[in-house]
Amino acid sequence: MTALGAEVLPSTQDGLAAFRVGRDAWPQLAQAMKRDPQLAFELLVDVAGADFPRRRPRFEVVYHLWSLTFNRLVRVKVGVPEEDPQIASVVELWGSADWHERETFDLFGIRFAGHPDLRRILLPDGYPWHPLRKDFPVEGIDNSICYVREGGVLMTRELAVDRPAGADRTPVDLSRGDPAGFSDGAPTLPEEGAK
Amino acid sequence: MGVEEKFPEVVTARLTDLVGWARKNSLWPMPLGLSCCAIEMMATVGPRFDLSRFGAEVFRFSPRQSDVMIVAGTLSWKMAGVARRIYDQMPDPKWVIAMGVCASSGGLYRNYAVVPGVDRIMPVDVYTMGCPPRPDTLIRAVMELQKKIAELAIDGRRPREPVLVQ
Repeated sequence: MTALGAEVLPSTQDGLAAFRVGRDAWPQLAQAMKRDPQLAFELLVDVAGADFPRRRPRFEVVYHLWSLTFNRLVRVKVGVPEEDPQIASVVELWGSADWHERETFDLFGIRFAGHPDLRRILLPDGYPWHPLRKDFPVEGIDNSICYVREGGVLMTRELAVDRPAGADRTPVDLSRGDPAGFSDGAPTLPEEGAK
Repeated sequence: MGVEEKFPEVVTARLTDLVGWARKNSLWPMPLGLSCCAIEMMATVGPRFDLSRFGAEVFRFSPRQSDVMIVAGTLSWKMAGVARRIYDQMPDPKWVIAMGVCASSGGLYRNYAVVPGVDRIMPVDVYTMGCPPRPDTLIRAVMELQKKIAELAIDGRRPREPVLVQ
């Protein structure tokens, strides 16, 4: 693993072994983790995205892998830059990655190269944004409302939305401080013995 | 006067009234149960609340056999196209009850994924308050709808002003 430049991360609260690996080394590492009989991570439990607007790279794709042979669970984090939000798909190795990668693409806009069918999964096709990004307002964006045409065809169009006064919320402006406190993804854990 | 005096067993009425009376007392709902409102909707049809007293108990899961759609729950944009297609498949004349605040206005879900009221995608005849509404509220909504249907012209032209049941 260290040959691939993987960086072992400090243990988090859940005590799960975690490490970070570069985007280019990840396909090779995934291959090894699946095939190597000494690792034998047969099961991909989870693929998720994470957005840290002030970090570089901004996005992170998090994989949870489980070895049934050794009963071991491990977390792998792969950074993905905002300018080129793309990462290799692992559907070839773990079939369970299919819908998880579609979800991550849908909500974060991270593209998975080599995915057999990279469509949106939760939001309607043709939706123009990726709403789990931190700079997306939770109530949606004006004119972002989809509407349905005769015959049930869903599409988007510019549509004036009546909104109560004062309900406007602009996307998070990071130049004015960091009210949400997500600039650095690492949550601050309480000091040892400071209970 | 006229024929009713001569033949006491005969009753005269306007055809529109007769048709309206028949229509309003045999509503066949299409249950679009999307979330927790559907549970109350099921209770409404059950023996305790017994919607069949108002002639609206024949829930059909085929839109082709239904004439009133009860949108019971939160409608997401992903589901919106399906809901509209089901509505389009129902034969005329047809009506829509928006059951609960989610169907009426999006309710507490003020976000990018939820349709802010099903009237964005289909005409609504009766709006219902509650989260979820109690079965009596849904029964009241059906009764309000029946009032509207009774005023319906025979060719299906009707007043489109929606009713709010609270």
